[in-house]
Amino acid sequence: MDMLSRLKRKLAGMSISQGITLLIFVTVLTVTMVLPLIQMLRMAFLGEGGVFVGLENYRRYFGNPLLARSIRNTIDISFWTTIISTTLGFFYAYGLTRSNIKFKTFFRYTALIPIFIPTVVHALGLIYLFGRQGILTRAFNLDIEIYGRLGIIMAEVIFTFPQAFLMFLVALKFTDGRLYEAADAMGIPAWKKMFFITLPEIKYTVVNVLFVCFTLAFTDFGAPKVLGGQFNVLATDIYQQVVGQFNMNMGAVVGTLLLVPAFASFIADRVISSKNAGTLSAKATTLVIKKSYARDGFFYVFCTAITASLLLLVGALFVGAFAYFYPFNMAFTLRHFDFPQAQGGINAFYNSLLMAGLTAVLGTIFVFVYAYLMEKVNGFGGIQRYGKLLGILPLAVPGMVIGLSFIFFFNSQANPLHFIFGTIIILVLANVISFFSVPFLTISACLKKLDKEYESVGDSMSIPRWKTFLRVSVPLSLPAILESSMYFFVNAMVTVSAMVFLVSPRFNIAAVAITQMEENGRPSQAAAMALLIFGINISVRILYEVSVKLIQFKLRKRETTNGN
Amino acid sequence: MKKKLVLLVLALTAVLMVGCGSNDNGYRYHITVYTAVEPAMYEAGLAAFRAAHPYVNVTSLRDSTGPITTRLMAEAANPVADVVWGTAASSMLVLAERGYLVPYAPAGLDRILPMFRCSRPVPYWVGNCAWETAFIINNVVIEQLGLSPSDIRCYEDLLRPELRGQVSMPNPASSGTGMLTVAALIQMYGVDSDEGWDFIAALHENIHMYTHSGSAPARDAAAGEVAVGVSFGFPAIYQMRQGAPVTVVFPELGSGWDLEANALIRRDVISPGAQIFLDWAISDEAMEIYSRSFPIIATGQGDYYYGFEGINPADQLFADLDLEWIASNRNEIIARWSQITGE
Amino acid sequence: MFLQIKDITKKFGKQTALNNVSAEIEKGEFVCILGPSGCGKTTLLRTIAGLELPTSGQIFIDGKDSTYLHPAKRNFGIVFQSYALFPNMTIVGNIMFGLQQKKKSMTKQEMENKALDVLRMVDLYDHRNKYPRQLSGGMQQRTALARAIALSPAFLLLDEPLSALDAKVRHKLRTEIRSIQQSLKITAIMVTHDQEEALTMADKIIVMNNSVVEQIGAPREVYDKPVNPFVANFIGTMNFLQRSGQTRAIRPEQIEIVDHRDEHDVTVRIKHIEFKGVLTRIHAFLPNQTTMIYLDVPSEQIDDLQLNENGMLFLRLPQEHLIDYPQGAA
Repeated sequence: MDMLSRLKRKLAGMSISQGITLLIFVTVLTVTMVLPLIQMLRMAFLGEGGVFVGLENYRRYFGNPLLARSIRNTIDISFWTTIISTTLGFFYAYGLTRSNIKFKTFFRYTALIPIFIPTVVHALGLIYLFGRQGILTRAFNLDIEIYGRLGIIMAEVIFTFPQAFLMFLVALKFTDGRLYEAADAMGIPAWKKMFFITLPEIKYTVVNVLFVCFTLAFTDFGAPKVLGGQFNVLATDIYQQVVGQFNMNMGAVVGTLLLVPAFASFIADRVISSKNAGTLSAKATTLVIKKSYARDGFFYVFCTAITASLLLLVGALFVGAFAYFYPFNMAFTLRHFDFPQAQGGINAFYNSLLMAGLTAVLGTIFVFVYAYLMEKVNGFGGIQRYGKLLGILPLAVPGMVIGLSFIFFFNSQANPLHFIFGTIIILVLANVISFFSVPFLTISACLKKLDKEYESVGDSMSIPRWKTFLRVSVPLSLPAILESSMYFFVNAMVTVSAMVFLVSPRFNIAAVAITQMEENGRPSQAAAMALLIFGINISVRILYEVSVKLIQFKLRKRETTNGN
Repeated sequence: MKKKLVLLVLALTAVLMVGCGSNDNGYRYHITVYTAVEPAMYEAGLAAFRAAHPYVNVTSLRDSTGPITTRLMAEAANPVADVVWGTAASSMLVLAERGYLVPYAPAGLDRILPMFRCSRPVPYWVGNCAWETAFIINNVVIEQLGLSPSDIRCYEDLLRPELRGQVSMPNPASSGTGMLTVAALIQMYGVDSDEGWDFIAALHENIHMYTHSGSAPARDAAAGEVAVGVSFGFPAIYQMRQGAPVTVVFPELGSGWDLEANALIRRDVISPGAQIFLDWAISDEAMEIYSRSFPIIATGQGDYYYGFEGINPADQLFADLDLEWIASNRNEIIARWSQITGE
Repeated sequence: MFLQIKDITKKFGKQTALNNVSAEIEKGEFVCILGPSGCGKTTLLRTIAGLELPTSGQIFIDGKDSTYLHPAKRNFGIVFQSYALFPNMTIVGNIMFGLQQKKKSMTKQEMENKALDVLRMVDLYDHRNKYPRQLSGGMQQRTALARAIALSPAFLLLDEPLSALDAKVRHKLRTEIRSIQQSLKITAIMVTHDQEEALTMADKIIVMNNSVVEQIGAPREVYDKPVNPFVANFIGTMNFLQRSGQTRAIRPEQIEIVDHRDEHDVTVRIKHIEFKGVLTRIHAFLPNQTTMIYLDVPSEQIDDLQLNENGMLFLRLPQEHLIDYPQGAA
């Protein structure tokens, strides 16, 4: 075959406009994610004045016993958080899937409370509960040292519990009842079923949960910022190095350290998800849960205890936000909702709404088109493989690192995109990148399920791809689109770690304002702002649930034979 | 379709940028001001400046001293700010030394006390007002410990055994207040003696927590998390005004202090608007605003101030404080302090 | 000649899906591409559609080289096994979706009339406002067919359109598709692995195996004169006998049972009698005890023959029905 026909064949196989779009999208993601990361990595090897110093920064970092201790501290709290969260998450999910307790819906939604508030607020709530003047401390005369290791672990458990729970819930929900029926027929006792059926079935989820909890706790900034005290961790070190001591290169060094467990987790997840595909056969039967008062009793107590703790946490925020001066003057007041102007006042909240709204809309549009280009366009194998990898890479990049690398990258005069620094654009961008992967995976999975011949049919009828995309792919993916938008919105409302480096002169956001107010001695106002965020996130979640119910209702109507 | 999407995104972006950008109507100058002044000062100050100079469009960023300084250093190659307003003099020394500032003598410079400005004839920086270390004592908690608020008068009082785990102070590595508190202590005991460091080691036994910000100890004391917070004056008074059961005192041996100072940032083109701002920043009108929050203003004409009944706050300052020494020994101070406290 | 497929080779990486495939299709013909799964038949269809591009070779449509022509410009309608109906559009909506795009010259009324016409043709007029999932599989496939022909394409591509359906529906739809194709006089190319489907529907069958074309011909021709043992065995059942240095083949229904053994007749032992409805199949061993031979007898004659398992039987293999292949070919 001669060169010309080879070329002709190659060109004919690809649609030029699709190719260009694909290239644009992959380039955008490369520029906004990969290049900043590379810049951060570079910074870790530069000394003052931008001289290459090799591993000198690392040598200095590990040579400093205090900084090196931060690593030990971070590993320590991450370890315990992982153990506790995984255990609690497993039993909570187990109770909701494998017992006959009532109020499962209630239990399921209350478990999600921590997702709707910034991690700083988990810590703040703990102070209101367990601090020296805490509600519980005073009520039960407790003596818990909430500042430091214990408090941070508690806050991180609150932070990671919903993630562990949700992952276990999915894994435990889909099981093959026949395995248990067979075991029953053989007279196998309950504990053996747990160890020889249940746990092996979800072993990949267990590994994943362990990694996710560890990584989240390892890279969290909010809780250690509030509860840290003498107890330094890597995330607060970055902040101190960069913000307190102006040492950008050292900040970059710590940033690279934060990437380590995240990358390990990322690789583990990849390996696992390749092994874990399609384990459930179509013939699986649903599990019939047997009667057991002892088991149900245990799970009533267990789930109620967890739910009560989380409700108590939110309750404490209400007390803090509405008491005149907790705990010395408990008169009811709304004065804490008059937010300090220095933190942007109530505008910080509106700014957050705008930012989260834009993140949800633009992020979902971008992710959807991106996933579509990866799944439904033919003939760009190499770029598409790279693009898919890029799509899941943010899983391995903690928010702190994104924030830091954005400073290094966008705040350089050589960068033509410098103009976005200090605007809402960079905040939205950082959010879209930070939370890219989950919507990307959700939407990709959804697109994969759509009949791949829709495009062929469209082509045969001369319908342009964009029209098939708009009229078929988009409406059919509506639930995934809504889920992704909600995910973007809620996360953008609560995230602090990337934002803390990027908020601008006149554009503060609520979650960062909470951190600042807490630090500046305005915990009541921080609690009040947290309640606003909580309220809006709950509303968005309800809106989402209702929309999905409506869509499902409509779809069901279209599937019943005697419709019309 | 995808092309349309891209266009849509671009259009939205453009709208946003326009939305965030400034309205050019009637402005002659556009300047960006970075500042670490207290919130109350920030609002009132900017409002007053805009009223006085409506043709200067000010974009401003307010944050703590640390972040503002960091930002200025990070942006040094390509500065965003024209003016730094009301930021610690100790930071100004570092910025000036690195060549990020341009000397400028604002109108009315002769009214500023020598102690409160850069010593060069054409100064790198000029102070507005001073802030100082204060003790904030929670009346409820201190009485639970069997003490009374009047028992805490000077630094030595912080060593009382009743106060074990009941004192909170800022970390000098991350907080300007922490640095000046520690540095003033060292200077008061003599920089060449170990006594100051011995005191810090003794105090460490009573410390509940070293905070990252200078106002956090005031917060902790007000909330009753500790009995005594070593803070700086303003947030302590703020907590008192908010209704916290606290007493604010200035240590008898003398308070460490720092200045809120202004300077002109080195950039290719200096906007006349920046100079107008710096002139205004030490005007009588500005000084009046500073004095509402901070008792000690750089012209030395302190007036009555809430929380300072019957004392002249300027007398409380440790007059011999050497800011240059702090600036040049910053890393050594942090290193030695870390070694002692294990922080 | 309407469509010419010339020396098409298609490789996916190292795997060859089509190996030097050539075929010619006349206007108005119903052509079946028949072969076992994985033989490349669907790839060939997709290559004709332009949904896949050949590694080498050419495709001419109406005499024009269309090898690299965009699918939209080839003017075909396509029906998939999975129906690929847009579930968010009604039946009439599915048909209008294509019409709106293609016929900018039509008024809305004309488009609607056209859509309703094709729906009447496939007998779905009464269901026009339902959604696809409210219909049975057969009805959905008729919708897909209606959608494909609504644009009056030059040719119709059918990718295993009946495989997902129940046997009864499948038989009914065979006739329907064929009659619609004949009334529209439209060229149709259908991929199937069901030889009965191919034999009943096609004007011409392209038999494929292992990425190559084994035989092209009319159904009778392919059935009566399979060019090689693969074709012979894939379409219907064939008996192979090794005789005097040759492989001879004969269809089960062409073997005759005789009372007296002639010189050329063979004696066999009945192994098993299998009732299959109209016909009954007899499985029997040749004297060598290893070669199995099948013969089909109309069931109504079975009783008269009084056969028992393990009984002996004389068979005549009529010369005119014997097909010769080189030795060892089977």
